Amino acid sequence: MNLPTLYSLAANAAENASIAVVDEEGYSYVWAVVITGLSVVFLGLIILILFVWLMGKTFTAIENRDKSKAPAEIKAEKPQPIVAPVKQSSVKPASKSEDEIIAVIAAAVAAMGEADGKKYKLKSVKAVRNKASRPAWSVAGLQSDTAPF
Amino acid sequence: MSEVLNIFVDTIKDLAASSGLANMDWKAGVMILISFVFMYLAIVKEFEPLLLLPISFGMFLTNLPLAEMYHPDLWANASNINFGDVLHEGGLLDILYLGVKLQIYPPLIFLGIGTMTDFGPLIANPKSFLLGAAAQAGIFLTFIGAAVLGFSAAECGSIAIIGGADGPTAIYVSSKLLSGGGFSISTGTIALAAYTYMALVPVIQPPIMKLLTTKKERAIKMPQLRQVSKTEKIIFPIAVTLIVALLVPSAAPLVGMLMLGNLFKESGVCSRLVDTAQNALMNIITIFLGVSVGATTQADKIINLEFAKVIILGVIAFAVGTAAGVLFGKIMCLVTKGKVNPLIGSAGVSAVPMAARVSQKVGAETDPTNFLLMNAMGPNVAGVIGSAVAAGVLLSVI
Repeated sequence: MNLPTLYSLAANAAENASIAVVDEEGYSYVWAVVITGLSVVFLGLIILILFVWLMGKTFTAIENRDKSKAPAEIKAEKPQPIVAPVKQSSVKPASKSEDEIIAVIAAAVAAMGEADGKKYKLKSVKAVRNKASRPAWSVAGLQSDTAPF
Repeated sequence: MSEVLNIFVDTIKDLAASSGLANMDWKAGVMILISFVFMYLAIVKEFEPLLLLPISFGMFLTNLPLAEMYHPDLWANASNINFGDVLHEGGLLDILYLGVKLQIYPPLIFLGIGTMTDFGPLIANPKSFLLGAAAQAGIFLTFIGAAVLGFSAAECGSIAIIGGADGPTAIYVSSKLLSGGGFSISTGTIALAAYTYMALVPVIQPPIMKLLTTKKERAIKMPQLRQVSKTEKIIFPIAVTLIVALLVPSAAPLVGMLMLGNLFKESGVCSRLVDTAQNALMNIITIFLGVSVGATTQADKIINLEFAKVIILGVIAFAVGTAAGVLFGKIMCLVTKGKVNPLIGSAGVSAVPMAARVSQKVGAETDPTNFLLMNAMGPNVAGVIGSAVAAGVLLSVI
């Protein structure tokens, strides 16, 4: 059924508001509306997908081109700062803040040990990264952001 | 003295005879009670209170006998409304209803929504558009349901659009289609059903989502979305308006205003306009829209079998839209070999941002470390565009 036919059927249907569409036009009109509606919605949104996808590709390409230029310039300007490693124990923290984190972890382990009645020795601290999930701080941040929902 | 007493008694008799109480019929009484139920839902249960409260109060006002605030007979002749009569004889709600009848309020609400919408997640993942389109199946399949139950073409279209889960769109479509007398339902009926169900999205959607997905599918984690540049966000509203308006011109008022609001926001140079559109203007229009749409819910439009049918078809429209979104999400999950969590499909029904929150919540129930909110926002805002396009299609063909 083409659109002009559909329009004329619709015009007939609109003439009498109270008559059921099925009695007036039959199920072919109903199905025509459903099929036309769904195809136009999908067609419209598929065109939008193509447009947005193309736009995204273009802008990502432009951004990557800019990025590849930018780091070279920065490297030339800024020399790398030299960080002296601090040797305090078998656990090697790279900075003061990590030192604090290790102290907190050690305290937590000691507290656990006390509860279990055992003595634990902290040998090394490694960040656990589950490939599929986010870092713990990111998870905590997301949790606080999305908690109200 | 007796003469004074007689005049006094007669005056009191006249006053009593012309009072609202003497002119109250049972139907108006029932309608007032129904309006109290909706006020209760808005105030105590907080069901979309910003709209349901003005709608229910409009319903209350319009059913007060002799208050003469709204005259349905002024609007009965759709093809030839005498606007002079409306201005001369109309009550307060008739004047406010002009904004609904002339399709002014819904596009202005869309302007405000545009200033509050971030299309970033949709631009970052354009595939979300497909989910926004799939969830519109609820609209068109409900059209069949309404036809089976014996509604006319215009009524079928108005009931079906409830499935778009978008209040302003539902009001826009139904006020255009249901112009004139002879209809068993009104714009107010549609708005009441649409807003009640939108408030019930967190109740209606989760069982359907859980029924149609496996635990493994619900636990799928989706990658974080890429950062979208400001230029892309500025081009997007202009391009969408162009594409949609060229394809479905009757969707232009809704989509055009939505995108104008969004352009105000993304351009970053219209902060005063953004502030007005999303606060003062939106609030004023919400009050006018709510109270005047509520006024169309008179006894003959509610106390009938048709209203019960609208309520049933409305929930079917929501459920089918949700199911279609989730099922399409499953197809995308299969095609992408498990990279898409089907739960984000249900957010395609619009109802921004409630439907996306529901996707997030159901996902987090399966795995508390799963965050689908931003991924669900893509289909959610795509659903707004999708339902506006669907509205345009319904207006074109009916």
